[in-house]
Amino acid sequence: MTTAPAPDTLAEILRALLLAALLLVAVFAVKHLAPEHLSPDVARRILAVLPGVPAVYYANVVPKYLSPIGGAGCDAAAEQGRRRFVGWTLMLGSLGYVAASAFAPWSIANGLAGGLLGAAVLVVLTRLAFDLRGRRHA
Amino acid sequence: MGNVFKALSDPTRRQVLQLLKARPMTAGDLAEHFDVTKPTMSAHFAVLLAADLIQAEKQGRTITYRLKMSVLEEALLGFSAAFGLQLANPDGGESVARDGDDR
Repeated sequence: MTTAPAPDTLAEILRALLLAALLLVAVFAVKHLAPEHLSPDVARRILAVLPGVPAVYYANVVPKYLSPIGGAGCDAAAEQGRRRFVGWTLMLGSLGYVAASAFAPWSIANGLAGGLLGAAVLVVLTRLAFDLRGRRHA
Repeated sequence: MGNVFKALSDPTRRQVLQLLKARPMTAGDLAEHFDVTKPTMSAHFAVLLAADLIQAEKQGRTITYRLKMSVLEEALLGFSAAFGLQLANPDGGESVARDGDDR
């Protein structure tokens, strides 16, 4: 016996599919517009920025849709603070990725963009590791 | 998105969200911070729930509210708190005083 997915889950799947479709359309649009209507640099920048779009989108919704706060043993305030920290850090890293891809000198754009997003992920993982260790020692 | 702007347009609701940023709170705990009637407070909670900015969890007769805001919504809250309250009342103590009229 199968159960129908919850409306929230369906909406999230549809949003993800829509985002993927938009990214594909953007790539095809750039491919068809360049080089006649788009300069190679602009086309290159657009293609570099595109991977940052889903990163920004998912960083934005992390604090809202990350799994609900856990059971009785869980410190609800700390859990909420952690979710907000993860969301804000990933959002800043993703925006840094997009900004660096769009505006940094091309020779360093890719490295800088990846470095900013990677640093954000590293900060999040470090914080989660410290929290987890703190919880084990408590 | 219209629901979000409507929810953030009221200083009492903004203050509820600011309180919930620190930790999840029960309806009673939240109501203690405001000089308003229970029905008014319930109406504020209903608007925030409709905008999907908070979530309610019922345990027995107690309802606990938790923050459910995206990063963008939180940034909007920050902007509206900074500019909205200033426009409403430069003294900053407008929220409770005005809502006190609801009694």
